[in-house]
Amino acid sequence: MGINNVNDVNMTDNNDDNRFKSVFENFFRQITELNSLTTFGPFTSLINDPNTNIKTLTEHGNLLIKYQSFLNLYLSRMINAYFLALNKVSTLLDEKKPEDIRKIIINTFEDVYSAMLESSEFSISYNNLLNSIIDINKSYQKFFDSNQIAFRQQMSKEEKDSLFYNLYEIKKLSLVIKKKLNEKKNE
Amino acid sequence: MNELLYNTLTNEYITFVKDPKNIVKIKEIRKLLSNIESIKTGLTEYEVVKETNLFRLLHYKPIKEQNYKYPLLIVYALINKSYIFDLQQNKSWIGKLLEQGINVYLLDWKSPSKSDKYTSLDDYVNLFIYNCIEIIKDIENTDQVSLQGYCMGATMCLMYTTLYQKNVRNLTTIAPVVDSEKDTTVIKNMARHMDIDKVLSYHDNFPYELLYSLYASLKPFKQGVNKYLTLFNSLEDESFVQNFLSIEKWLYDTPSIAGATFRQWIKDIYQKNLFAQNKMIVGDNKINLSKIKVPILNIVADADHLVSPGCSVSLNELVSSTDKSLMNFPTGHVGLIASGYSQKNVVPRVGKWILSH
Repeated sequence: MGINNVNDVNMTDNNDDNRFKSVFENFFRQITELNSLTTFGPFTSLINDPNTNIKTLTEHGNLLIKYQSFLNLYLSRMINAYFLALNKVSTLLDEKKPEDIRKIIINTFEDVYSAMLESSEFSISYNNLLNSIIDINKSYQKFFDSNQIAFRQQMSKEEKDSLFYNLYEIKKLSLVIKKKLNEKKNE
Repeated sequence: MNELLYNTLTNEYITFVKDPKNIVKIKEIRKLLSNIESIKTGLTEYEVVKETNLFRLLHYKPIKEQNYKYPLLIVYALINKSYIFDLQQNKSWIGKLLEQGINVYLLDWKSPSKSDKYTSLDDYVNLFIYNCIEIIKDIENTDQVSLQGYCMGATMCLMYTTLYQKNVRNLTTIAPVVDSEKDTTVIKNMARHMDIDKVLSYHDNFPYELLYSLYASLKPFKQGVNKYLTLFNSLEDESFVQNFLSIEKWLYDTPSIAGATFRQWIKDIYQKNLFAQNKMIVGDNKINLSKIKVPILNIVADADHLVSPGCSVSLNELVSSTDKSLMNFPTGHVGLIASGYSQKNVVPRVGKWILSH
């Protein structure tokens, strides 16, 4: 029984050692595999060139700040127009019938908002906001294209554009040839 | 908000929600609007003569003996869809022309895909319109067609006519975009500060979502809000509701616009006004409106808020045609072609003009 007990203890120790060894072996195997995966997974972006990503993210942050300021300006124009219209409606109201009041509200809001929408300032503000949204989207695109995280199979925008342009040229050429042939036939 | 306004609005609201009939009506409106896709439009019978990835050439079945030698080709705009010309049986521009014995073809533009982003105005004018006119000439065994364009389509017809005048018997332009210096619309205002290169550096084609945001800026309360109040008050009028829904369906059914085409449209027409100055280049050719000598009818809506009347009216001074007419109508851009008013007052006169030329 005692021997058996000793044997049991020894076996337990051996088992623990083996398990410990196995965990370590597994860990090192995984690390080795991970290091060999230079072209796969999010590690590509972190291992290959972290400075590029940091720069891109900083630029992205600046674009978000710019977007915030253009959005504020755009919304403040909208809100100002709303209060201006509301004040005008208030001054126009008397003891009028509900139908007249509805008409006054719609006409006044139309006048105030149309004046805003037709103004040069609003057009600039709208287009600045539109441009900043595009900048943000392009920044996402840039980050995506530069890292190609797990999407190496997909073409970048430039590659797609080049393909579309070639397709367009081929289609156009065939139509131009048809047109020339037709012109010749009619001569 | 002053007290009177606050009290009035509160009383209006309370009176409104207290009446259960109003809640039923709102539910009905929601149901109608959510099923808008099922609204039938374009009911006049036609045959598809030619179809590519970017256009369909439709030939409408005659409904009476044709008493005009030349076939009419209608060139639609690149915005929204061409079924506005055949919205309902009692409001069909095409139907009314067929009734007058005119042989009608329609150039129906399809939505460009991403790979069509380089399709240019040169392609639309020198290849697609050109191709359709050649096909019609062959089918009808004629050497000329009567040409008619709406909005952007009218501008493209003008470009075509400057280049291939011998193929055009006469030209009708409906609300053409010509002299953008005289355009005072919100669209022009938004376009003049648009960095179209930037927009198209990200988007392949000009996205329809941005077109919607522009439309939403046009008469936002008189049309955007008030039309739903009118619908609420006219829910029992079946004819009104049908008309409202078909127009509503059309308003929100717009394709994107091919990138290269829209780039040139915004820069050359809206920002530099090159078209009206005879300096615009399409393909290898300079577009010179003064070359146009064919009979021309220019139709303008006095209350047009998409193309200012002044922007269209200038055309009559720019062409060299000796036979040129201008017709003004007290309606709007869409009312000009798809309304009861148009059926009674516009199309009959247009048809009459075509038949006499």
